[in-house]
Amino acid sequence: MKRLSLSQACLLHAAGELGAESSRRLVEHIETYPAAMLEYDQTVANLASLKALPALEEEFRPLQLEQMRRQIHNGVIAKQRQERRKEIKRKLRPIFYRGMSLVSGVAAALVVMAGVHMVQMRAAARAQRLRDAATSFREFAQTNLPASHTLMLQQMNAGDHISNGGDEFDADSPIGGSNGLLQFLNAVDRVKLAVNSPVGPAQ
Amino acid sequence: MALDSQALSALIERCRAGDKAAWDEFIGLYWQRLFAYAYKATHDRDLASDLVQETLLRVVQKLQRYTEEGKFEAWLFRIIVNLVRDKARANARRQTRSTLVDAESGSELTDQMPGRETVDDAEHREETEKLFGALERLPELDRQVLLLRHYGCLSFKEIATVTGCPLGTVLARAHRALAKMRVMMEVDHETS
Repeated sequence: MKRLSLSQACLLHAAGELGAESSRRLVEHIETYPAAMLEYDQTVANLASLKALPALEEEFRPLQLEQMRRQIHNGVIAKQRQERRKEIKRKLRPIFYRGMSLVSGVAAALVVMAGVHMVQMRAAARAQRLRDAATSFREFAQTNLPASHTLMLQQMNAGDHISNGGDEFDADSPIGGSNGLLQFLNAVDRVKLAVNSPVGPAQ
Repeated sequence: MALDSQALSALIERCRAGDKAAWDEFIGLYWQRLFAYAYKATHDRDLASDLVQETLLRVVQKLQRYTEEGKFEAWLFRIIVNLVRDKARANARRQTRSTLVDAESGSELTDQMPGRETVDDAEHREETEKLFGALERLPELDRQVLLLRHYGCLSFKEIATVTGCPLGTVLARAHRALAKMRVMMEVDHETS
């Protein structure tokens, strides 16, 4: 416990804030020493003069006080609502961003899937065109070329002449398709040469 | 007027839970003491009202993190004391006393006192003005202690907590301020 000076102890006692034991000792002291009694009386009088300061009720009419109370109250309540809205927004923001991310992700996946599908469709269409061209040529050759030439074509189709090192004409594969087309065109040239040669096509 | 610590804790808990009635009660309980202090410290009714609002709003914002240790009022008044001090710093030139004008009627407060003034009333008013004059002439920190004591209804221990000064310093300031006021009042009496 910190030791207080006489004036401090008198002030605390006059304000009713001094503990019981300290109060007892102070009373003993001021009863013993007249100067201490004088100090105590002075302090009490000084503190009492403070009580003469008017309270708010004496300075403002009840109506004004009520107005001020309402103004302060409304301001605080409005701000409280604003704070609550901010809090809700703050909580909802991550959910909103997560939702947006999800939607963006789904959209991106759809775009990628559509792109892959389009590439596959184009490849299939190109392969189909090659197959159609081969079929058309085969039909043309079978109907318009002599028998020896037809036989050669059959051999070609069997892969004996046009496939070197086991390369097959693969119309379904985009790479095989272009490779096969090259082989096919070579074979066509060889058929032309065989037809035009004086020996004629090999039997 | 003040609640005991248990009732205050319960009220704070209800306010934390967002109970509107509790907030009404809380504001009703403290606004007048806060306003009285702010008004006497700033001499501006509107500014005092704004400062009280600001204080209560800060309580709203900070109450969730506040831990009750029996120093709630000191905490509350520390907020408004800091706000008043910041405002005083911002308005470096403080007016001695602004004229109180009713916002609605535009009439001065001194005209609002109903009825005719008697001789006793006049003497009382004169005494009050002298007292205010003496209070105004005190150094800032001494005045703050007296305002917190009289208008904030705080104990000297609470004032020590609010101002962050040792109890002895607060008591010394209060004692010195009261003695000075008394001397000034006596001088005023003699001159008048």
